[in-house]
Amino acid sequence: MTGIPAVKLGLARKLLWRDWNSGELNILLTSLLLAVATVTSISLFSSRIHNSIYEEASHFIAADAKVTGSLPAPDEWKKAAQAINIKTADIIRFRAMTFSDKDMVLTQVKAVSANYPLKGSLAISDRPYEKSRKIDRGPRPGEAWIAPRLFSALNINSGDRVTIGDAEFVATASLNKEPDAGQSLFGVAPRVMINIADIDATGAIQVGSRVDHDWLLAGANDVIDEFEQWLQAELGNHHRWVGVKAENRGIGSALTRAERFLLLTGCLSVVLSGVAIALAAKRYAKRQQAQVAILKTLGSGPQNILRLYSINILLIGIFSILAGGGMGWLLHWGILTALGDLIPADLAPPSLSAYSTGAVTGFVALWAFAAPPIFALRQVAPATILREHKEQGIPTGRSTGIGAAAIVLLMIFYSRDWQLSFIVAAGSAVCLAGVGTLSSGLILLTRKIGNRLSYSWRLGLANLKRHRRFNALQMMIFSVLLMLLFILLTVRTTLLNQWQNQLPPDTPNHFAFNIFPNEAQGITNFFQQNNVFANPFYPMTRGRVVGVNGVPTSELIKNQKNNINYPRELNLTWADTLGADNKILYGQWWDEIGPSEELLVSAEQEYANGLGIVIGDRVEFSVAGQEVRARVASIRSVQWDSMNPNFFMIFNREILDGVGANWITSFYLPQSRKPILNALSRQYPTVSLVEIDQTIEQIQSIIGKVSMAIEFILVLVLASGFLVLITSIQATLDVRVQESAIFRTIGADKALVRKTLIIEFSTLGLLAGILAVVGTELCLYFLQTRVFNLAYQSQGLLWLWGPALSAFLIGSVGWISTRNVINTPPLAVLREV
Amino acid sequence: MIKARELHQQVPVSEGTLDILKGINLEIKSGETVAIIGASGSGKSTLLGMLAGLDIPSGGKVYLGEREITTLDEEARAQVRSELVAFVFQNFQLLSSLNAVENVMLPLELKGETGAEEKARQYLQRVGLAERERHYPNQLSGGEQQRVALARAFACETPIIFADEPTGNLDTATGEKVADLLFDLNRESGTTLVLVTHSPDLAARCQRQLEMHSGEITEH
Repeated sequence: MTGIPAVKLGLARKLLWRDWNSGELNILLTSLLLAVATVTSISLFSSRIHNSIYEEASHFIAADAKVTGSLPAPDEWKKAAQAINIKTADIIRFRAMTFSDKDMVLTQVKAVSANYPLKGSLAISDRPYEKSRKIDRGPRPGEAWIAPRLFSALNINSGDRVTIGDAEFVATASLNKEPDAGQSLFGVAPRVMINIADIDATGAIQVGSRVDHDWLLAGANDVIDEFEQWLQAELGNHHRWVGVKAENRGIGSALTRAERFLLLTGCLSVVLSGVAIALAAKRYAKRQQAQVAILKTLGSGPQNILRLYSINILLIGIFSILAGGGMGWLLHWGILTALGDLIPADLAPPSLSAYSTGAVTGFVALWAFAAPPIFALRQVAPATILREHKEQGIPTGRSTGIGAAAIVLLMIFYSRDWQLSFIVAAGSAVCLAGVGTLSSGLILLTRKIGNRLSYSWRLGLANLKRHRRFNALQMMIFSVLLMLLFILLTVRTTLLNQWQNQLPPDTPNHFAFNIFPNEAQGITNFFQQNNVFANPFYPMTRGRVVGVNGVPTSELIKNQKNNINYPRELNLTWADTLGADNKILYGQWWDEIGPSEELLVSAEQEYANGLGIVIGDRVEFSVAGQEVRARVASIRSVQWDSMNPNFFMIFNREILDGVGANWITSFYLPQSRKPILNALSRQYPTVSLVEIDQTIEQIQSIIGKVSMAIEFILVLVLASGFLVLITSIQATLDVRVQESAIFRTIGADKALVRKTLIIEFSTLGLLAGILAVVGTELCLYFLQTRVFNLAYQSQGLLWLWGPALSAFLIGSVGWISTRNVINTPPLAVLREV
Repeated sequence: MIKARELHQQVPVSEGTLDILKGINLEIKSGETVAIIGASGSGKSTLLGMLAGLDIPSGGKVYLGEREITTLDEEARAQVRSELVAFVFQNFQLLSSLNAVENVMLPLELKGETGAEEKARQYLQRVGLAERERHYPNQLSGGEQQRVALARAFACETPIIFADEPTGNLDTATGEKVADLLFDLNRESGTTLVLVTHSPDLAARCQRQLEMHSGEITEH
């Protein structure tokens, strides 16, 4: 016996080509192409937006990252950075008196190297409060660029000489903006910027002087990430790595939420694509059963069938990944072109990994979702050809298990975020289980209600009951699909609203600090006379957290992973009322506790977490050289991007009777009224004023980009969802087609069949919509409170429009998908099926 | 050529089990033409499936040639089928995605035969469809589709042909033409023909008639 040889590639290709030509592969291929294209385009787009946002956010620290510390970065680090083409710059910061012929002011001197800034640019003008011009370098040796108000404080004009330590400089420009001005807002004196080459000449830095060193780094994201990994192990107690997010808490939270949203949408598109592919593959496999039975009667064994379909899947996979990847690139490019002026032309390039994400998704989806039902074809009994057999395939439980595992793996691969992946997966699983139980009951219930309705309604609802097995399955798919889309729409709306509200037009754009207690009333009067709206004044003193419950801070922070620099001094305040941008998470605010002689403190959530602080702990502070103990009465969340003065630690009363305290406030001044600053500066020369217009502009720009990215990606995911809907309806189309044809042959007219189908699909949609809203509320609770750190809000209106939209959508798609069937002569339908 | 010994087939039903075949014994010699007749549901097609190795019985043995196929796994039975058996079905069972010549070529390609296309053309010419070789099944009439199926079966050049109601889907005139062709081709190739039919006329053209009744067989 010679046996039958292995199936040849040519035959597999021919059969596949015939399937392609006859349209059998349409839905499977479309699902796969869309999965690869969607995930690729989302990855490319979000990668570019992500990189651009970071590019822009990097202007906040004038670099992609920096190492800051009390000592200069060692040479070996500099050599290592140079070896992998990382650009670097150096900054030295210290306080010193700056003298003119007529006056002197305590200033914050910033000495910068020639290539500062690495990201962003400085804004200077020849004279104070004139129109600025951008410049990409710092002052040359011998020059000093000084804060606008220093001109009046030192009583000098542009071109006059100033002295710092032993060195003399020419004040050649007014320094109006620095890209990294957002850092160290508090406690700084007016800025003087000089060239780092002049440091030695000043003689201002002596052994024991308090000096801060920043080593700025810029390079490709991957390279910086790699360098960070290496350097983190080398960093000792004197140095700290600072990334973009860590440096600006306001931007950090916006970026984190945006990233998480993009990841969430990516995860959801993976889930949707997986469902679409699984459904399409199931239908394809079902329609291939007759062909397999024929092939088996012609002598093909299970191995040959497996080989044949393995080749097919491989060919389909290669085609889908290549074509889908290309489509994904074109799609992202097309959208970028369509958006035109809305996005900058110099959008950062995508990361390399963005290209592979779509391909990996396609490959995994193909083998996990498409392969199981298709490979199960080898089990089709050849005797099927002689009589109708029930559907033969691998057990549903096994294929569902493979699919679910693949979805979770893909989500983790895509998001690199276990928590997010788990919430989406668990939410979907809970929804599936709940829906599975409820759907059959609901279908039966509608049948009971339907007995009192018209003939077409009775027929439509009877269909719903008759097909309850696959209708229940379809309802599970619909409700999970709708749940994912509702979640996406809701989270997107919440995020956009929150971002739009967080920076209203009159957001404070100036901080005034170093205000002595006796000046506070005068400044309040000044603001009132000039019609300037200012926030309340907060007392502020400097201090360090030195321990918690007797354990030194240095011990507590050994394993902390957040980006807070615990050893540094904090700004401490005390207040009776809690700011609107603060929210008590645990414990009580003073008004609930009542009058207390005990010194109490309210700690910011992230700061407290890093030290393991809980309610009731005793925190030890070092303030003005004295140790102070306070009991933790509450833990707060803080909206750092509100541009109001905010603090890690707020006390219930004065610390050490207000020793060393000065006051801080923030206020809004439009550009046209900036000259008021001169008057304020002249009247109160020791008060420090910081303009943060540029910071606000940058945050607004970032929010604009993120919002646009979210809108775009939402459209793509909705497209995926729509395909799942169509695929799911197509998957059960054959049965409906056959039944419709039988109805028509026994006398039902087109209108009745059409009406029946619309009623069946719309009712299915309505029920799926109700279940989807339940699932949405459950998932939203966890997503909003655990992933996005937002307050949970129930979606009242969703309960109305969700089921209504669902009924309309599924009714319409069902009707459109089955329309051709109704218009085709019944005999043709019966012959085909 | 074909032997069945104590062939039983039971299927589970709600009341217990249903005996479809009740200890069938039969022997068909090489070159014989045998008709299996009987009422609907008498087990004719089930018996055909068992004899051809498409299905395995609940009990008993089937021999094709010298080999007992009831102990073979699905893979080995496929090999036996590819060597010894070809089929003609009531509803033709052509692959709708392949044209006439490709359908005839398919089993030859599966066997890895060279010159499959040439041979397929010869058989299509023999059944009078040379002009329609590029037509797809849905472009052919029922009679033409069954002629393609005959060409495919005989192109395999296997010693046994199983035919399940080969004229069942055709009108009387077309059915007669297809039956003529079937018996002519069978005679030319000297194959063993086992056919299941409701038609007494068709059965009468076979050398032997076996009647199935409630899972048992009687020879006329």
